[in-house]
Amino acid sequence: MVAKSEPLFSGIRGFLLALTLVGLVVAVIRLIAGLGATTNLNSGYPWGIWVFFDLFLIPFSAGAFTISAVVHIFNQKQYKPLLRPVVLAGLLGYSLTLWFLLLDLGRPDLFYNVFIYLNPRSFMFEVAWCLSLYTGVLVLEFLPAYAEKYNRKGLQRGLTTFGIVILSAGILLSTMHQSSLGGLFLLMPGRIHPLWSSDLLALFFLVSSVAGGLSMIILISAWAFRAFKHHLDYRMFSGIARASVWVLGFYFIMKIVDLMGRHTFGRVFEGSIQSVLFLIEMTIGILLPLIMFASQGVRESKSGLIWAAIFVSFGLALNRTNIAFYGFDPIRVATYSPYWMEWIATLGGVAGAILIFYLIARYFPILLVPEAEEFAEARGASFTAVAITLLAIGIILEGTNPLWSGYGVWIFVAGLSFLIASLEIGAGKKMMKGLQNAKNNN
Amino acid sequence: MKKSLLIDISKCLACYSCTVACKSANGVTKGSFRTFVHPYESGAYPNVRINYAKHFCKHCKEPACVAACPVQALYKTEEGSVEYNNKKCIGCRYCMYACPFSVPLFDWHKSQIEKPLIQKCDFCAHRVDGGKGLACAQACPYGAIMEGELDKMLEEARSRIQNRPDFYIDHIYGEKEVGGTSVLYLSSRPFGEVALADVGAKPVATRSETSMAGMLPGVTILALFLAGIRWVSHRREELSKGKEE
Repeated sequence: MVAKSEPLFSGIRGFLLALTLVGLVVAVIRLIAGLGATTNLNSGYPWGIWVFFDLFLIPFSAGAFTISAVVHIFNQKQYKPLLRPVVLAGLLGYSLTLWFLLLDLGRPDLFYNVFIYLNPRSFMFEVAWCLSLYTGVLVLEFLPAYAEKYNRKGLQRGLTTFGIVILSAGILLSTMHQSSLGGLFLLMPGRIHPLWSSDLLALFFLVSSVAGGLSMIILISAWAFRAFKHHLDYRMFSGIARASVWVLGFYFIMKIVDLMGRHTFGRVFEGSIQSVLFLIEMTIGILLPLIMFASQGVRESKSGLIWAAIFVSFGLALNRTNIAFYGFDPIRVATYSPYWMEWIATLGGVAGAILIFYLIARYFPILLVPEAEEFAEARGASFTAVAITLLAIGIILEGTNPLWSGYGVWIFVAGLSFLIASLEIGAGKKMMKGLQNAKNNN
Repeated sequence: MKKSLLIDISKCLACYSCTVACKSANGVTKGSFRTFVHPYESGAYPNVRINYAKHFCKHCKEPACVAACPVQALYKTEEGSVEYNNKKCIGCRYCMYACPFSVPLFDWHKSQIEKPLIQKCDFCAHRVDGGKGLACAQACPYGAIMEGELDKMLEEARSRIQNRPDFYIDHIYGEKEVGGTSVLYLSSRPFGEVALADVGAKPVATRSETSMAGMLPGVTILALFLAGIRWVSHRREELSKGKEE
């Protein structure tokens, strides 16, 4: 929470508010007049700027699951102060994604069919479910701030008890849909330029989203702390930077090995627009930030860290655009560039998300709460029981018809989340104690 | 019985009877099409040719669109046709990307109130249920479209090629393409010239489904890995605390 002396909607925020409202008006027009009248989408390019934005927004929002894993799985407590701002940014990123998806649907009035008629063979099913479930999880991850502000003790207790389950579900759902997003493109083998059309697309999307997530942690923290004029010690990012080196390095090597494995390495230098874009993506988007993060000078400099993170995000955005647009062979002869209404609705949505972030950060305990999110332990046994039950139900449903096996997938994932939470920290100690007691009794 | 259509491209004279019959039989509104005939120019002087090919859903044996559809709005029937349930479709248009033949089309021109849909041939589902045949096959005045059982149509195609081996290309398009389709084409010109591209013999969805099958095992391994890391990292902290004490 911050000084409330500043006027709410002055200057840049006033502009953002105006943009948001105009965007909303255009969105409403779109939802009445239909896709043809309000977009330049066509039978050659059935997906346009809203889907492209979703393709960036989702890996950009990967900061949320990355920071949860860093803090609570890898137990790097020094990053706790960044947890809430980055999770909030993730929540808004995903809400915006869902909003754009709704705008893009041909029948937004029937969106709920996704939850009634399931096709577990489809990556689109997986993406749609994961996005919705994960947005719900992010709301739960944000709730501690709400509970604190309004002093809801019961809610707080529930959140500390199930915190680790919620967080684990978030990480699992994230890895699933980040990779599924790449999986979407596996169904169009002939349409994507060979430089990107790999069988490993799902894995590439996942690994690059982790790199993007780490960079987004730096960018969002830097921006949020600056916006509220708080001091942020940039030396704390050195661990994130070092992790980025590993992830980017792994991604880079995987890309090269994949190209050679598919005998397409030569096409990198073929001179086409696609090959140039690919080279930019690999050098400015991966190699350059890799070298920057690897150098100690950059790791200790504020601007160095921020620039490296910007390069990673740029590379990520370029990669998704290359696959979905520049390296994409249209379904039939056609061109596409977004209609002005598509631009306005998109920019309005982004402006709205930034504004809501500001408002929530202003009125809720988001920044400078180092002691946030302590989770209760010692639920091991009951969590294990829940985990086994859910996993069993999931597996049983898996064997039934497609509809029920579709629900089974998510029950199984819930079971896995409880499983992660059930491995108690004190378990080893307790076991030793128990053995000791048994010995003493003898 | 597997439904099938045999299209003889060499017999088509682009009269559009099939297109018109399809539209009126299925109530396809203005601006939308479920089948269309395109002209294709080929050759050089003096052997210039124009051929016409009817493009529509091939009703694949292993349809990529059915694998793609997140709400099971597209589905394969026992008769072999791929049909569409317009009450389930949410209009995500993933089928348009998945189809190797670029068949499904979206009603771009319709407002949201007019309820835009995906348009694709469903082998005249409602007519066949009512005991009538396919509208396009019955409308064709040149015998370019023949309706029948899949095995019979394959036989017919083979015998036509056998009877005129110099005329026909020795290939039945659709017999093996993407794992086999219910629509078969014969042509006197290379199929590439009439936009019937070489799409390979492998079903399109194979790659996607292999990757999909790895999802749950993958996420299970990840969960165990995360649980392990969490335990180790917290245990380490506990041990270091113990040392300090």
